[in-house]
Amino acid sequence: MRCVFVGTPGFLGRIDGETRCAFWAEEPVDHGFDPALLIEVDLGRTPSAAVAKEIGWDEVQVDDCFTGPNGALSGTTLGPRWPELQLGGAVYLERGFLATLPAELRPACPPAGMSGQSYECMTTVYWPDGDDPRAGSRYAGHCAEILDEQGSLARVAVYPPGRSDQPDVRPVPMWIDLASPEQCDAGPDSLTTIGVGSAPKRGALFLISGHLPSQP
Amino acid sequence: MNSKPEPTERRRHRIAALLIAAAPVATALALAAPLTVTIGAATTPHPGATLIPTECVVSVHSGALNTMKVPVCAGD
Repeated sequence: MRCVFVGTPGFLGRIDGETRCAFWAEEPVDHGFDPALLIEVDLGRTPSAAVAKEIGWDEVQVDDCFTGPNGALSGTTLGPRWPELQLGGAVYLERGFLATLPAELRPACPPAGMSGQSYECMTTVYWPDGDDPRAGSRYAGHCAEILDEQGSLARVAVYPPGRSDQPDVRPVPMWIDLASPEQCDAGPDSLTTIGVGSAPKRGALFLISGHLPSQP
Repeated sequence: MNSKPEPTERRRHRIAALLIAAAPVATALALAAPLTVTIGAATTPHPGATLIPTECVVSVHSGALNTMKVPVCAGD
């Protein structure tokens, strides 16, 4: 079992409570700060809250805000730093929650002003319970192209997320094991579309980007 | 005081930058980049902490009114 998150830019439009707020996914200047276009969300309904059993996994609305391997804040960065409130940032909405929104509120993916593929704005977190070797791991979608392969190992050129269409961006080549859940989301219902053998050579590669915190 | 409205295209690039800046980067990609990152807690640099990628991926509890938890990293 897993959560799949779709990233969108977010501009804080209203604070409803300690963790609840509403944001615009599009530049509010463009629509005159229309309150009808606000997306209500509870920033406390995260995988970390589910791990702590404060909510059920089916109640997760957004991905956590976390420090990534490069030391930068990643994930949902909108508003996690009261009182230095972050008025603009990213919001990673859970796909099931996204589906409950009215169609006119669902953010475009990729958002306006951003090129690339939709999977470059996506992450997935596998629930920590169960036998799946991906349990508790977070994977981030990247555009990648296989350059060479030996067995399940592949030399792939990986683009930084959201930048695969930019002409000045050079992909990073690396060898990875496409069968290893320690490196990518290898396994049943994987979101990765590239592969060795007859599989597509350019497409989505969900690389590991961290783990959920241990259960308290 | 108020400047002229920004061109739509520039605004859109700014919007996209919000998402790109927060996009989770794969551990392997971060390792491949020529970075030995000194990790920061919030906006304050933490000069004594050197990143150990697999041990430094720490969740920060989200929530508009919640105090951010400071990640615990190597060197702390």
